[in-house]
Amino acid sequence: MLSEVSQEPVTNLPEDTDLISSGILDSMGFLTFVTKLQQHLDIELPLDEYVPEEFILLGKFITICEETLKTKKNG
Amino acid sequence: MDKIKISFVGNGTPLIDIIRYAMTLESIEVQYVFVSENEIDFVKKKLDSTIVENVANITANRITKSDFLNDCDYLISYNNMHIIDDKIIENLKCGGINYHAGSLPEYAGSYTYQWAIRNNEDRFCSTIHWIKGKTDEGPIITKKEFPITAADTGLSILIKSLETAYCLMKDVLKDIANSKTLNMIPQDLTKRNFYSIKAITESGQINWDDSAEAIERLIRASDFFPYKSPTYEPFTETVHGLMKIHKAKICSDRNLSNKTGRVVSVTNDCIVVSTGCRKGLSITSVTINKSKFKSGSMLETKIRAGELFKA
Repeated sequence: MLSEVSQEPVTNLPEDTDLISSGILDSMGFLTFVTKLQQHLDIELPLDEYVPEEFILLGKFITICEETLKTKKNG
Repeated sequence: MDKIKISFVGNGTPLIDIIRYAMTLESIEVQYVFVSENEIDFVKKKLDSTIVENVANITANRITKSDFLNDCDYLISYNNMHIIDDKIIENLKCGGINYHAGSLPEYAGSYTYQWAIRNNEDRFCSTIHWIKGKTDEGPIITKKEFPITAADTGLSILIKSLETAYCLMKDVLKDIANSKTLNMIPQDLTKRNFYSIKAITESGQINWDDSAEAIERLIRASDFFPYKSPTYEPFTETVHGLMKIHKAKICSDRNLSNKTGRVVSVTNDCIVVSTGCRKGLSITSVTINKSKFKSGSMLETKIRAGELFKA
């Protein structure tokens, strides 16, 4: 999905990759990515609990997604 | 047959998307792309192209090469905040075209999607117009309206406007590619309102004498979650320091005070404040002195019932 939004092949990124400063996405692209991901996984990411400098890091973003999915499963 | 030469100016993913579309049209040649200096590498990479230039080459008063676009048919300004120098526009063979977020002539200027919420409009509009005369005064080529809902925020309106503009601009590019004559509908400038950047950036202080509806709209218009508002953050002065309000909704409370700005109740979920009407404002997300509090932790703000916010 990240490749689809950024319109370039994206693989094997390290966890500390900043999705914006690395040039993979810009702020509007990140928003599109979040929106598509939320729709696909049927979740709402609690990004308001973090500052943008945190959640644009790939590793942190994945952790937020995993925790949200876990909370959803535990219902 | 010679291709129609089009240059673009603007920024970000929306600009890249429309350029990618233009590149698919056989009779169009994308000549140059002008972006801010800090975006040049990003746009070059995304377009896999070397035609990307610094926007400072064509902006008003900072022009370095006034003959830059002498050979260009159209300059398309898309998601662009820069004022293009008149000489550049005059030198174009066919003219400059701009996407404006907002209805013209009623909503000329900047950040009009925030003003539209604050002005309690029920519709917003994306407009494509010729660049002519003063900012956003040029004749209209095409426009399309869409509804504003009670759930819309500043950011959601901007996104809807960009989505609408993408469809409109694709049609304009198709017409250009097919050598169709574009509309040139003059604006009724007696209806013109111009919204300046200064006016909106200085409008964040909450006036508790306003109605709950007006204050809620002020807050919702500034909501760019997960980002910060590009213009103002609604705030009020409290005895604990400056409080920025991120989320709030209108509420009824039988204990509402006649004194506007008085805190009526505080629970862990929300702070309820009296306003200039019979309704209150239920605040659910704030920042006080750089500490963020939201529903579930509002008692930690130390704000208590009876306190008065400066109206």
